[in-house]
Amino acid sequence: MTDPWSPWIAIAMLTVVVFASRFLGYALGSHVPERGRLRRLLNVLPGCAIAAVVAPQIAATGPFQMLALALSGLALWFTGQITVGLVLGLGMLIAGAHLGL
Amino acid sequence: MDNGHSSVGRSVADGLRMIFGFALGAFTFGTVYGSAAHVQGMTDTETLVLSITAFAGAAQFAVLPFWNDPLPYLAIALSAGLVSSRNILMGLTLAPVLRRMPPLQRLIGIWLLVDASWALAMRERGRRDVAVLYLTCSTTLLVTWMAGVSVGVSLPGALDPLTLKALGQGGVIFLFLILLMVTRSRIGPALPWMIAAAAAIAADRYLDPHYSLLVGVGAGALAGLILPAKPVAGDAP
Repeated sequence: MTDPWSPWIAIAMLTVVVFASRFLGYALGSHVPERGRLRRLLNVLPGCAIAAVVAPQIAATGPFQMLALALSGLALWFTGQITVGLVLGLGMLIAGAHLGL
Repeated sequence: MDNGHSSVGRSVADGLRMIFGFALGAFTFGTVYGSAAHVQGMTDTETLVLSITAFAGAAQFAVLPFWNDPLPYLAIALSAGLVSSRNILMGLTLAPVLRRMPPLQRLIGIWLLVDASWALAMRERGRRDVAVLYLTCSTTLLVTWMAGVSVGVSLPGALDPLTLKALGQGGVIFLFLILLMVTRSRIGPALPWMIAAAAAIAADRYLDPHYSLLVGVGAGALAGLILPAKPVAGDAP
């Protein structure tokens, strides 16, 4: 970098942005009652956000990657162990990449 | 004899057991990130400092392509902000758990909030020791993530490009499994999430992909409002 400080400015900025997003959620959530309709609605939203991030990426993957995803999901569902699902899924992706799938 | 220390010890042990699979993922993606950052031209110190201060794998991966001279600060901030927006929602739901902690632990808890520790805390939110569980899980994730990043920057050539690319794609599997674990644990109703997923796919295909998150969350929220509420595990009536 021509300016030796610029990476550190970017790192500080990124840290502040990420921390602010976490703190903002906490600060807003502290004013919502722990029970009731609004709390139930809020509890649904993070899952919606994860689903909205993951779904388009899943839809854009190839058939083999989709198979790896499905099998890792089934492994988690039936064993209850995320380790099993993750190892199976990543193992398939690595094998698929080396086999050109 | 049962006392406070053994009780905390049991909670920590429970947390370590629960987070093991996610920690494995954090180590793997940390290694991928460390290698990718090295290839992109970040110094090892920059990579390690960013990884521990931000502790946000998705945001860090998102801004990596921008890490060129001169650094586009605005694009970095916008990109990180967009990817981190789901932290706001997770913070909203986790606030009751975080409020049970003393101030310093609460601050650490906010700093270390990530998808995996959120999911586990939500699954276990009916437990009295959920704050200890959450901090144990979050700290373990930070340690394993940093261990992975350290390996990645130290041995950037240890993983061949094909393996690195495959592991990079594994981020989707990681998030998918988090969502599935949450669904399996009946933490929340799955239908709004399915609607959010379908809406996000439609938005990604027919609108600007940047709107997919907004459209997905909006559709899911609407479904959560319209659909009749049914009690789920850990929810008070």
